[in-house]
Amino acid sequence: MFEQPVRYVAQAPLGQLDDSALLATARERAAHLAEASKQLAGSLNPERTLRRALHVTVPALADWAQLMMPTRTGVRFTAIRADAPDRFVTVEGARPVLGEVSGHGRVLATGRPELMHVLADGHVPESVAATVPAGVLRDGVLGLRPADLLVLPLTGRGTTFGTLTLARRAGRGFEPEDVALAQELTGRIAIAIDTARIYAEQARVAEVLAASLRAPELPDTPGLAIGARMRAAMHTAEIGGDFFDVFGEPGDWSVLLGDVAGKGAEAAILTGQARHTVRGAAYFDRNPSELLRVLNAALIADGGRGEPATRFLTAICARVRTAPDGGLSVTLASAGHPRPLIVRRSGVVEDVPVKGLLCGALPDARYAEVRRELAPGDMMLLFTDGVPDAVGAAGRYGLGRLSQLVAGYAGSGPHALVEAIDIAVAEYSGTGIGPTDDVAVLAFGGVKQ
Amino acid sequence: MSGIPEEARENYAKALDAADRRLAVEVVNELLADGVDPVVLLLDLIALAQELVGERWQSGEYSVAQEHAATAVSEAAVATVGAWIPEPVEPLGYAVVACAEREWHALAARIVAESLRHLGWRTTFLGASTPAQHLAGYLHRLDPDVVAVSCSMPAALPAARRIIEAAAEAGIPTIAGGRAFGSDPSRALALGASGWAASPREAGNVLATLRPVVEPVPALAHAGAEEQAELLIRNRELAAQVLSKWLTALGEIGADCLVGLDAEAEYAVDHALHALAAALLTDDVMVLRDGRDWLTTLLAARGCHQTAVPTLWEVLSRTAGSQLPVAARLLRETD
Repeated sequence: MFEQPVRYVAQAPLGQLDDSALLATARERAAHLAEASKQLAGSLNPERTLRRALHVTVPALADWAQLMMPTRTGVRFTAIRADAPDRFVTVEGARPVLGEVSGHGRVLATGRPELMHVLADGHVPESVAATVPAGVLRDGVLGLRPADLLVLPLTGRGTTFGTLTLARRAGRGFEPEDVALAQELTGRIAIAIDTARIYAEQARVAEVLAASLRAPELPDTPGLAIGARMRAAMHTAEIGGDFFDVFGEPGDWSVLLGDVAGKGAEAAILTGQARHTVRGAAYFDRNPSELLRVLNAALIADGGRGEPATRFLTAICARVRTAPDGGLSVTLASAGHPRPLIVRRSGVVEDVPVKGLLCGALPDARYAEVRRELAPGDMMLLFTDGVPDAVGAAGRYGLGRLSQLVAGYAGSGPHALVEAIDIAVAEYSGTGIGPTDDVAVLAFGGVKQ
Repeated sequence: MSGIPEEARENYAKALDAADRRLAVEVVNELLADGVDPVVLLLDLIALAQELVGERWQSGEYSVAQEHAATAVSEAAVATVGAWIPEPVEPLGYAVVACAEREWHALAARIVAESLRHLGWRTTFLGASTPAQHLAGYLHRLDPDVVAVSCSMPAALPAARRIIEAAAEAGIPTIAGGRAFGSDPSRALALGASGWAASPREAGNVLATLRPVVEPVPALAHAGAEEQAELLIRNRELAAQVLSKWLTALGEIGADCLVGLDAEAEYAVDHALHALAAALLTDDVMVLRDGRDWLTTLLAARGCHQTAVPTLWEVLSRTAGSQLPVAARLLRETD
């Protein structure tokens, strides 16, 4: 290993230095820094950024590099060597004592780089012993003897939180301009790692909160086949103002689908509240009109606290009784929600004229119920206004297109139906930017038992 | 084929035909209980049966709705097999499996994810049509060792390139697979993927050869890539032009076989333009040839005149080809 002579990036040229050689060196440095910065900025994951930091350092600046980063209980060393740049060696260690005379504690306290030298004879100076943990990592450095080590502080946003140690073999030491370049690069590494750490912390909090607001997994519902799809306008968090829920018991299921005014996290919080309110109310009376009445009353009672834009919602609630032959008897109530469609097995599409006030507007709203019978093979489709209101090159998607589409899926089953709608709406509204409104569809049909 | 009794195969086909989820799940459960290897089930039963479903749609035997219904049944079958595969205790690595934007055939990708899991990988499947921006958010959070991108339609190849870019920007290698990538690595590598696998079985070996951290992929600078961008910008306008000229040309030769088949005619033009765009991006005339063969079967099954597809190609040359020299060359080379 290490048979070829290495020329590090921007290593001072040997011999007479003319202007053109100096200029070429300066250019090379600038180019490496620019490339390294781009790579370091590419990921917001701390682990990935750490590995990239080692890759932009070895072999460009050193034959061996080690990052020391704090963990919750101690520190972790990660190192690579130029002859095996894809082998990341990781060792856990104790947290260094801040302000110790040599080693990482010193660099962490001073925030200044340290240079040290390892002779060929095998004697390991105390400063090196304090810098590179014994075992596989120190063996890696000793293999480079005689070697020069440069320990650099990782300083970002006012704190030195870790170190980067570089080693060059065969006495090819660090000239002042090499140290300057290494410091420049280390500064960028520190900012990238620190940014990734902040992002990871926030992403973890956001993820835990978002998980509680996301659409629930559909329960197993014997006698009833249900397909549901949801696309959130706020793509990355997968949360939005549309929601659905399914609960009940064999023979008698409740289906809820709704849409909170507004988008994103504020709207998502209200969807959670709405689902819990309805589930709670269902312990006392499962009738759809009653569930919506309670939901409305709860929203009104809570009205002072929410964001003004997210105090209203529309919802449709269905109580579904299954028959052994695969038929269904469905009772519906609506709070200002787009009318559901029935897709008969024959291909006939009917809309169900069920209406009522949206929730959150008037304190004593009452809701009317409508009942429909579904024969085996018929399906009922509930959707939010994100479906007809999807905007494409030819204007709104509209109910006409939706009816035409679903007629073609008569008898295909709820899973196929919602998939087809999901695809059609996404294709219609175009690609790249994603939907501008949340989209939710839910279809159900009876299953012979 | 290995380990699947003919009777089970027939029952599974029956389940797809009747859109009977319960029967499909029952067949799969029985085979699993008999000790049939999950990957054999995924690839040699479900994927094979699903290929037949695609062919039936292409040949006009199945309606779109029937195809979707059968696919939904296979989804349930794959989920059943997936539930049978235990999470690896000491995973070989962590793979995120993604479908590029506009790739709606999620089943193949789901089969890849479950197969990899059985091979000892931890996997996360992101579902159909994942925009690159969405994927990037996942990658920061999940930091997988690899992104597997699945692509069955040429229309999704440009978006697959976006996935590859997003992963490489984050330093994560990519492995590409699926019908749209063809039968050798050239298309995948042309789009900057770190590797290509002919099947989920092979993917395990390819994954073992990938570097843990990759560098950002350079921009595609060849003339074809620029023309692809042009084609993308003018897709809508071109599609309308091509459609009307194609129908006129067919009418002139007395082959107005597409009357009453508006959706099919639009689909054919869309498919041809997407195949051309994908051929430009990958600089691979085979994409265009495959696209043409596919359309030929599709239209023949719907009673179209045999000159329909050659006429479409001629119209494409006249419209898109007149302004885009690489496109013109590729369209010529299709024959």
